[in-house]
Amino acid sequence: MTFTYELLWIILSFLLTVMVLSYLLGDNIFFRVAAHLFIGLTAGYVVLLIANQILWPYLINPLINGTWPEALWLAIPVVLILMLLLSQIRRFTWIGSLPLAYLAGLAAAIAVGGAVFGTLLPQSRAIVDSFDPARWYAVPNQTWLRILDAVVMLVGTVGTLSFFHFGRKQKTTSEEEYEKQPSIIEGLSKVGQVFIGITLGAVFSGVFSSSLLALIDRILFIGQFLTNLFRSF
Amino acid sequence: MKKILAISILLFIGLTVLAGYLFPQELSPILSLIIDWGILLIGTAVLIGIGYLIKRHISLISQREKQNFLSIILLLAFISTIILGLIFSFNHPVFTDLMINVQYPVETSLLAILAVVLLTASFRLISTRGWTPMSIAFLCSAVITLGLDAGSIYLGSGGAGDVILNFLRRLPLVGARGILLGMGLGGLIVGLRVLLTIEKPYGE
Amino acid sequence: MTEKITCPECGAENLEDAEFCIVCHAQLREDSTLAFVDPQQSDQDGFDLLNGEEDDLPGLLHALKQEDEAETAEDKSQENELPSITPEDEFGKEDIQEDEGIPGWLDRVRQRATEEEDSTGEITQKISAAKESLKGDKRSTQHENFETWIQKLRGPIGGGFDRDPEAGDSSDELEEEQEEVQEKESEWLQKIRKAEGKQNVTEDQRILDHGENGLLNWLVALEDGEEDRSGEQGEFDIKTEEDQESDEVKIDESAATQEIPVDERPLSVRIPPKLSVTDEDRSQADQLSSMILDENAPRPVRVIKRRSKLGAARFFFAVLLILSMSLSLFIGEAVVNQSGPIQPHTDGFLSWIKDLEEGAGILLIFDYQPAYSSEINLIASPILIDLVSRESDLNLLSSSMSGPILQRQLIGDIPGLDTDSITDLGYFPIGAYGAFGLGMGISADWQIVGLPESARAFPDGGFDSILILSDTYGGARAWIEQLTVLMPDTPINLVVTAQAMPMLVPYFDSGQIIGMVSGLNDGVILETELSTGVMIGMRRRAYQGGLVILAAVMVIGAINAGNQNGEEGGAA
Repeated sequence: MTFTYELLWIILSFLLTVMVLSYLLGDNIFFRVAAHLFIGLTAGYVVLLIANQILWPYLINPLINGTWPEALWLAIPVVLILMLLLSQIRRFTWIGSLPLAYLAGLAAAIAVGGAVFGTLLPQSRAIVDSFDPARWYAVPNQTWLRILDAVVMLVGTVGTLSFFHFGRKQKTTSEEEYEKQPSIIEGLSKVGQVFIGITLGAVFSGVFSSSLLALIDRILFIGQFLTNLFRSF
Repeated sequence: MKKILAISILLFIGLTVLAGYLFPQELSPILSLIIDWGILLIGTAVLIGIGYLIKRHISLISQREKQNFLSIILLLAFISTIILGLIFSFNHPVFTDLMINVQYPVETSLLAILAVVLLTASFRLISTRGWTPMSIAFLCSAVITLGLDAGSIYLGSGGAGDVILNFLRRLPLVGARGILLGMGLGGLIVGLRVLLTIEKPYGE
Repeated sequence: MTEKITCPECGAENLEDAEFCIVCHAQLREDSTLAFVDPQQSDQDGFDLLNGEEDDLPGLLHALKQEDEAETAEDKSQENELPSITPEDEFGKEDIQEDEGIPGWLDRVRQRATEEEDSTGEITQKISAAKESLKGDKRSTQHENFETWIQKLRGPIGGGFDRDPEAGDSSDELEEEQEEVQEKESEWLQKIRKAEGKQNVTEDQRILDHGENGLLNWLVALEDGEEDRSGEQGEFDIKTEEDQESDEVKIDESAATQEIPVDERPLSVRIPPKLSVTDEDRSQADQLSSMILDENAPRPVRVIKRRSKLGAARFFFAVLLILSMSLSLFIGEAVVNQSGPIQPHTDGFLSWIKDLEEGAGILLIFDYQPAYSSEINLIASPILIDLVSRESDLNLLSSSMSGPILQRQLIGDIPGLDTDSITDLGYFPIGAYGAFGLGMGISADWQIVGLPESARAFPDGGFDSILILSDTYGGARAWIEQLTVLMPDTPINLVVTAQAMPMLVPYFDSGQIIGMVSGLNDGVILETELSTGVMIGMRRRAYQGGLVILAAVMVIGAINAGNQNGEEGGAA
């Protein structure tokens, strides 16, 4: 058997695969060694990724090779980065509030914009559009099916949202009633539970499908490795 | 004073980005700048996080904790990766091959273990959760979806069979839409709370 | 509740059959000739409570409460002996008596005071002394306060009131009394200690143990809180001199005169503060006491029987799954791909790729982890082969940390692909930021003067289409939300894993994405429709077998659960 560059990687992959899959027999030292090796290597990789793909092209290279107006513009992120680093010292924790406020404002605005324009408006419009008569009669034999589809969509969506409603009754006559939701919300919430269960069941089967493909891939790899190993002897 | 400064920065950045959704072409250079600086800060934050990880493991080694040789392995792998990356450069085939031949088998194997765990958990689904409407709907949906994906459920081509199958396949869409709307509302509320300075995730 | 009589000296309320006042130890009955009660003797009555540490006041308070709980059902008027309470008793139980709003445990305190005035008196003495010491020297450190307090406790106690060494005792009898109490002071406390398992604790350890200065402060704070209450009169009330004078009026002048020991110390020093505790204070004391006890309590041995059963079940299912997969993969011939029914989102994707022009600019976004690369590569490979055959202009962008190496892995497997023609747009740490930056970068009409050039150079005209490769619906959702707003005219397609597909179908239904492919079945359809060869083959049979096994296990588990419920119902 000739020792080639690819063979080194294959042996490494095989060993790591077996060490991680040994967890099926219970937590053991091989699994922990593989996990710690993975974490250390990934941490090193991430450091190099950040340095190579973010810090160097956007900060260090323009500072070194750029003109002084460009360097002046970069003074602001440099100051923010220094503040963030300095805030790790206990005495200067308060300094980190400025760069964190920057990130918080950026994240919040992107979240709001994306939620409103990217999800809430289009998805609400889709529910409304499902009640468009033009769509019902677009396919002649499926009019009632489309009407049923639209009604189920509306009721199910409202029910699902009702499930996440945590309000309480406003006017209560007893302590038991105080802990209950309004009746209509409670009714819709029961419907929503069913639809949420249906969706989560589909998601669960998808998760298993993905993990099953990973298992098939690893079994295939181990089988091919052992087959080639025995053939070479 | 620093509180006012932090709030000012937050409001300026937040409102500018929100305005960018309405006037993207007019504000794009400023927003590109904001995003680039934001990415620099995020990269720094990631490096700080990794610094904490390394610091933690160094302290485990110095305190001579039990099984601290695992921390030694972690640190050795970290340092070796940094050295190799500096020697071979980030895009060198040797470096990328090393990364892919460690990350890929480990992560794929971990995901493969998940298949066994899910199989074990699915057996105890009803005994753990009980016969609730959600658990029954979950069970039926999962079984039908698995059967459809495996090609084990066949109701004949054309006609009522197709209609029923299409209807069954569309049912998860209903709950998914509700969940997405709920998540969107939640993201909107949290974002607004931050922008209105009701919540201050950056500290006082 | 028994009737109460008022002390002629301090005006505190005492039980009817009390011999001495529990506050000032003044004699209440004219015919009483009893001397100071021997604490040891009273201890022999089975009073095991007060044998803890001298400064274990929270424990003492809880012990007192336990008494109340133990005698809840009994008639208090007939009780003469205090029940013994063991350390195993559950501290923290509250049994508030509703009789006249006085807590049961406080009533217990009063009852004990009739039998063992020393204990109650000493507690009160310590509380007042502690309060005095804290009030007098609030600025000193807690340690100093505590030390001073301990010293004062160890100093002349004498009825417990005098904490100021400068005050002095003028009465000889009181001095003798103090000496007796000082000698026997710890016996009842020692018994409490024994009961709680704290023996042979040195004085220093007592002082420094469990931050008891904090306990001291807490106790004093209790009293401070109670001082604000008006109108409540008990045997522990702090009375002003005016109140004392008015109370003195209530002295029964018809009682036979006898020598009453006169306490010439100032009234403010003599009268201990009222010890009444609110519910919140009681709960805090309970927590503190349980925390102190818990530190010394033996830890229970964890039972791991359930874990071993779970491990055995997991091993069984692992063997079942791996064996069935292995048999499907290595035994028998590869199955020719048979594509199932095409979903609307898959049909949309196929329509897009078939209608794609030659030389179109495609943006490939890598947003998945290496764990899912086997699934994504199986689905994406036919697509990339087709795009390469159309000489599409490929631009790569990654928002996952492993994106750069996954790009190399996927692109490297595509035959006939010229890697020099591929543009790498770099790495964005967060998908939403990346999408926003992408949208802003392309739509720029003007530039800021002096700004450094961005390392990313986006095409002037944008992209003809965007293809997102994602493993989770969260990552894909972030891209879709931003791109549909900022680049509404650019068609978006998804290549996702089977786990992400159900949550992304609404985006196809709303028209935000053109098409989507996910899972092995769609991979088979792509291979068939695009005629790119058979790569999936043998995996499909194993995949189908695994899905059937899961469905069967779920059904069997449900039936098993139903049988178990039926058996339990029958047994009931």
